Amino acid sequence: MANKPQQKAPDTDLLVQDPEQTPITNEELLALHTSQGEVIARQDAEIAELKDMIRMLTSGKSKPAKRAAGGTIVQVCNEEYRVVHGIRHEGRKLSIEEIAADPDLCAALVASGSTALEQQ
Amino acid sequence: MGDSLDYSRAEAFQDYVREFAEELFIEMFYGFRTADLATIHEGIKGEKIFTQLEVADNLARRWAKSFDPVAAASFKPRKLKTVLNKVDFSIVPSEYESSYLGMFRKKGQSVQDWPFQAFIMEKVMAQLKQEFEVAAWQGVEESTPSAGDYLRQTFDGYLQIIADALTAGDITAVSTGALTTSNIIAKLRDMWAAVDTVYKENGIDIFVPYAIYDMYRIAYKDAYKIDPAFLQVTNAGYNGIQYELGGGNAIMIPVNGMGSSGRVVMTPRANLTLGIDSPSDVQFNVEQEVRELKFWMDFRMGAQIMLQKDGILVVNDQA
Repeated sequence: MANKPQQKAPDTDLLVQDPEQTPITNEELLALHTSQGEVIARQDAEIAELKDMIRMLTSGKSKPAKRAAGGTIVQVCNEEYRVVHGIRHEGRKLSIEEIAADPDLCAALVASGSTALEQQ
Repeated sequence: MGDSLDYSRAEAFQDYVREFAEELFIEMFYGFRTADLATIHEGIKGEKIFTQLEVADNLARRWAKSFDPVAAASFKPRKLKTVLNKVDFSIVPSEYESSYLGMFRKKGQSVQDWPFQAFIMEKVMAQLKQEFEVAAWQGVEESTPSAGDYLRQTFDGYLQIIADALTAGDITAVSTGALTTSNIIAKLRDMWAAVDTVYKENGIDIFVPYAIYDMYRIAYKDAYKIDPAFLQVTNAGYNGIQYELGGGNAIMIPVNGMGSSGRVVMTPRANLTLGIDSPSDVQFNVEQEVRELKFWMDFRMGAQIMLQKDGILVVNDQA
């Protein structure tokens, strides 16, 4: 029986061997893995922060079903607004229709940030 | 040493929670600022219908022999809904040893007076109370619930209830525009004019965010060269200031839970309600997994404004 060729004992320090590149040691690979873990953890934290920000920004807009589909559409400075509720203005109670019929009042309410008009 | 150093045992926490269950419940659900002001209804599982009785005006008329009945009373249902929420968190007690020991040495207390369990629960309670405060005012119920929703996304708070009442036409906002130090006194007088005289006589509360509260105080001091009088609002020492109009029973109350809202809400505090579960159905549970202690609690919460009509619920037109 022919003798089996002697096999060289594996070099445990060489885990990855690309003949075209310098071999990477175990310590280097561990350091690379650790640094990637830190990067991933940092990115996870950033993603969580951005998700929170998105949630906060969109929370007010997440209830279209509850808001009245009614109201009247008006134009103020070439932007569309919906008059969604009446107001008490200078001692008078004004309905949605009365507000919509007064362009100057609509413009004033938009400028003052009134909740009576919602931008569409 | 006593039990407090045996802090890795879940039994110690369970014993503490069971022993102080009532105090913890009261501290959590009655201990945040808005709970001190609002009316709290316990034992609400799901929905409870409160019926408002409204008696018609002009019941008494000149005599005539014919019987001409009017609809003397109408009943309006108001629904207080609570939503199931949870608190899940875990700690590794050994990570908090140094800060706990440092704190109780500073307090000059013994381990028996202030066990580690109390140290942990105090921290948790403080955070939960702040979240309850924010949810009670700024809560907006998600149209599509999801598992990741926070408490403030599970039910409508007072500000959203007010917005919905405006849209439904139940109440009419007073047009004030953005409030500033230069216009706030005049604008609040405009709002005051919309309050029903019955509530001006009986007393009414003016809930404002802190920014508007400070704005009013500055404007008041600038205008009258004097501080508005402080009034104790609740037995817990919550202070407000007396509003310039009314019979001395109109109190402006700053509310942390309103955040950066521009809304001013004039309504008797009894008109604000909160719904919670029964004390026996709300308890922290503790389990141990190796070095980690896992806490969990299920509870219900919801909010409602009982009377939503002009004169008793007066708001301005700022979000």
